[in-house]
Amino acid sequence: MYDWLIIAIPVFPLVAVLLNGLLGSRYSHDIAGRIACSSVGLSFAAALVVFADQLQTGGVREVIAYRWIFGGDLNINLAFLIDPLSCIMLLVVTGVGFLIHLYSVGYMHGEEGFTRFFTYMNLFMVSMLLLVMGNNYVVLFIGWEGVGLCSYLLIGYYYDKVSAAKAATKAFVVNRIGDAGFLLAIFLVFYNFGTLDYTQVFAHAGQLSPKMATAIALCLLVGAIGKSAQLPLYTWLPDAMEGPTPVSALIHAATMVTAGVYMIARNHTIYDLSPAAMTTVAVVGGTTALFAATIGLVQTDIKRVLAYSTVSQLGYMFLGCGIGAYTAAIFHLMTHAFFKALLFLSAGSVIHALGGEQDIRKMGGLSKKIPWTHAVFLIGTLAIAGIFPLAGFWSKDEIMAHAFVHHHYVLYGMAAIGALLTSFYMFRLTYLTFYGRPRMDHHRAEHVHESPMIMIGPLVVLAGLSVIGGFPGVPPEDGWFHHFLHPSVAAGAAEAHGVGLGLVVGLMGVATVIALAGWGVAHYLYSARPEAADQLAARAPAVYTTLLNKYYVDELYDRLFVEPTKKLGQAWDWFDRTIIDGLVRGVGEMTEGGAWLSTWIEKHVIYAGLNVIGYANHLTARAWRKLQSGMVHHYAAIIVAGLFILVHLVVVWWTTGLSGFGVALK
Amino acid sequence: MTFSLTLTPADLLLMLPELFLTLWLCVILTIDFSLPRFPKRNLAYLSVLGLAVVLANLIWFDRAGMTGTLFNHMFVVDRMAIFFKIFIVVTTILVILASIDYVKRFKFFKGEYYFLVLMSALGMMFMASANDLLSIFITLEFSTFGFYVLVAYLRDDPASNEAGLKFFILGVFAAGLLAYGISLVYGETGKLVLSDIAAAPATPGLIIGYLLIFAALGFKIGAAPFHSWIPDTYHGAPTPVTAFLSIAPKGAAFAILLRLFFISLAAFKPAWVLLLVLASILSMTYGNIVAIAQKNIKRLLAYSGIAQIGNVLIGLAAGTKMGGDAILFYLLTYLFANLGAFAIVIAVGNLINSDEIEDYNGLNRRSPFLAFAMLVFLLSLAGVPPLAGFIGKLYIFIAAIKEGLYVLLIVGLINVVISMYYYLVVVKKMYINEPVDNSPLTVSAPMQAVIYASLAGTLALGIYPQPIIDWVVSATMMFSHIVAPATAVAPSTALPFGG
Repeated sequence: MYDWLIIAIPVFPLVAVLLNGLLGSRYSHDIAGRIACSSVGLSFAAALVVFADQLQTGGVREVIAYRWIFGGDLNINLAFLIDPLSCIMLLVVTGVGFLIHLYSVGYMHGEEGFTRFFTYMNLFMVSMLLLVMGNNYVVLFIGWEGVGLCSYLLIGYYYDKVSAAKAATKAFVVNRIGDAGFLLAIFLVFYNFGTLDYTQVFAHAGQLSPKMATAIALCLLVGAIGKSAQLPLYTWLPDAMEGPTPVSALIHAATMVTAGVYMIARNHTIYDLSPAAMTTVAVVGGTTALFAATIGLVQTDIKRVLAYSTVSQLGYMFLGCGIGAYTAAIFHLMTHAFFKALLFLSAGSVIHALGGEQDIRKMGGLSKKIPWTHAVFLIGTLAIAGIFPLAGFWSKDEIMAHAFVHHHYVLYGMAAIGALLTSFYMFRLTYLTFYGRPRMDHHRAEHVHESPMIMIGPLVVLAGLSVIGGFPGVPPEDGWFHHFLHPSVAAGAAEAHGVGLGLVVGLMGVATVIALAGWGVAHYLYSARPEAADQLAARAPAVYTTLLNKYYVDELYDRLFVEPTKKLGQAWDWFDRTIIDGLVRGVGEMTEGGAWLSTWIEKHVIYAGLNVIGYANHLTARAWRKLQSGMVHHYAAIIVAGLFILVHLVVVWWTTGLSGFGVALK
Repeated sequence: MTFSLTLTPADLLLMLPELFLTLWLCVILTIDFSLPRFPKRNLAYLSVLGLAVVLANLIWFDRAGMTGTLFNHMFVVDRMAIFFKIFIVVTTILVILASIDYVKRFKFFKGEYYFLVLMSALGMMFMASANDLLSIFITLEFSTFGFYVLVAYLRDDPASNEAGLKFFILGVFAAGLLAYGISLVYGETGKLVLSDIAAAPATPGLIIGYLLIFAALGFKIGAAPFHSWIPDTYHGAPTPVTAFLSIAPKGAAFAILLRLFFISLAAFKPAWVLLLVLASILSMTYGNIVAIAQKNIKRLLAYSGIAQIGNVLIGLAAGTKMGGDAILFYLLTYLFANLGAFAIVIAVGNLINSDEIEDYNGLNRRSPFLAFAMLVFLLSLAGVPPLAGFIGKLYIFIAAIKEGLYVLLIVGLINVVISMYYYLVVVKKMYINEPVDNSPLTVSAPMQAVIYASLAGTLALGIYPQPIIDWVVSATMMFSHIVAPATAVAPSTALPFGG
């Protein structure tokens, strides 16, 4: 196979970005859409060829596009790594991405900035492909930041929505917090290995001390938590739903948010060295899975329910990584990409049908009016709820079974409760949207219409994948998927296989009962006795309000971090301005100030310079006293003060034999 | 000290760029007063032409490997000096092109404006070659004189006058510190050339002398705690002057700082790392946090500049050749991103006569080109890949981690997060907020050239930085003697994480 074909995978969408970005205004929307879709289609085709080749030959393949940063000891190529893990990611990203692009042509039809939308979408594809294909941490990081940037641009796509603008900024800044951790991990890797290439780092990972392995793994985890919206950095994802629905499907469900899971799986060699980090990953994942599911119970915006569901499902993947079930985590990543993209896109179809309505309290009774959307949404719901034998059943059950078999009973319990809640809120969503009495106003009800074929087509394909997507992983722990992925994510210690068939089937039975129980409760509350739900909410108002307000976490973060930083900035700004406001009063005083200053310098600076240490306190005190009224010499005073602090420090330091606190700072 | 002034033509060749520029600025001045009808706009192009010749000359020097010293080692030409001269000349060309529209605002002395800009550039080129304490003092003052006038160039604007006076008084004050520091160092060592004073043993007088010099240079680069003049001066000065002031003198001062710390003070590295770490942390944190509160784009860029200088100081704190490489590279990324951002501030200021961030609302609808370019420059300043600023930050942080400067690294990374916020606030205003006035904005040709050049630099340094990296690596070859820290600090293996 040819190297250029691998390089071409991200280049196709890049060409489309340049074409649509630079020349897009000169041709019609139709052509822009075709360019965008066909570029991703070509990437998908290339990815299929690469995948087929990987199936035949196996092994790891590295392709250098060009020498990128070579300075001193820092050597970084722009290069790609093709192995089973990146093949799976490539197929998911380009395949699901292609379907979503097709769907978007219909969904965004007639919107202002249609070409701009596809430029950003293709730029996203380029970044995401760099992320999953890179052979070193820096290429991964470029993709990582690139997808964040595109996510920012696409969330803020609707210019006129203030909430969208706020959500976009929030997403970017929260992600940057995670990125700071990720960057620190990159620097630690470089410090320890002197290189940033995966193959070399993982080959020598065994030399890391346990503490350093833990430090790197935890820093990477901070990055993963930010990108994959886990506790405590999940708050941006629900807000990100302000963007157009295809964006939510592509970026905030199927691909970008799973980057954290990919990154942990890619770095499993480092995680395997640190039980503490593994436990942290598992706990973060398990807690998030349960926590987000509880919030999802009461939300009323169709996309927000799905957003919390995404956070929760990502929690399962983290849980899988944390207990060493990397294959199961990637398996769940894949099936989740199918059914969550399906759910978002069909939710988009519902919103489309209702002319922009997103509140499920104003829906209902749509099953007859939009039968295709209803059918595929139902399939998505069955898949995510874990109903046998749909995709979600196999992957989620595998993670849970792995937890149970390896004696992580608490985590298993959390996952099981989470699964019950998932099943409940998904069926609640389905009932409220498609069944019962129509609750939309008359005007909307008349205009309900099924979406065009270009939107239904991708939905049907995704529905098909949601049904059969689980079979590559059957039988659990020993399916085709596991054998294929084994070279990439095989743990250092062989995974235990000595599990009895009875236990496996038993756990599957439990999982099915859980899923059915959630369905049953939802059926009872939202179909059989519709008034019971409100009664339940009324009986525990505190719980209901807390959940509805998402545990007040956003407010808490505002109080704790956002406001204090702003206040500090304003306070210092005030300090800067107040000190100098004397100047505004008149230039006349300036001469006087200048004259005063020169005497002052003569008297104190030069004199003090000769007797620095003795006069330091006196002068500093004088300078600070003068800070109140505000004249130019106060600038000078600040400089002198700064200088004296430095002199103090260095002299103290110097007299303590050049050691002292210097080492402590390092 | 014997002082001989025998100069051969071959020696003078080393000063050819400076000599030519001196001649050229006399030509500019002469044309200006002897041909009153000569269009001022053409003076700008004439200045650019002269600078282009200087640039070609410098590139020739660099290719030919021209090195040497003059006047008893006061003036040195080596690859680093040539690098900084090219840095200064490129900045000056872009600043002059960006000034053409703005100069129309001046009521008097339009021609002298270009003369003063060229003169400051000349002074800074000498700074890049300064190799002993006396030439440091003279060149530093020489380059600053032009700025004293330029900052106060808007004669009717009280803010500009204030800024000029403030800058002048504090500049003189800093000059006093510098002279005093130099006299102490000279008094202790009896030597002036930077490489000669390296051998002197540390005495209290010498240390205080060096600290005074550092304070004066810290003033020049606007590092905290010597930054206090920056916001008001940047705010009040004519915007092209602010752009010039925010880039070129900082570059020239770093030429001196690098020589001072890496040559004269190489042996005392353990002693000054802490000093630089503190200055760096203070600059980054202070600059970024105060920037959040700004309402005026020039003040915002002023504080952002303080923070950026904090980042550059990380490379100095690393104190290795790689740190030096990283500084040179970072300054180039800063040149394109910061100049580009200021070019847009100038363009927008010319068109809507405001520098308030509020008035950037909806810029994307009035001029998608300006908004997009600003987005790229701000993201580069914030260090978002694959733009130039990212490679600069990566390079400088890698240099720091190799020396085990964990605390500095972590503070730096936290600051990257904070800075993202205020850059994004501007982006949000440009892209999302509604404009008050919907009329489209058009950009003049020279301004477009500046913006395109800055965009090209910002993208090229990010996507294909290798040629520039090769250049900076060879430019700092003379620092290859500086290796890992001596025994005075903890060996790099004894780290908090036990690596």
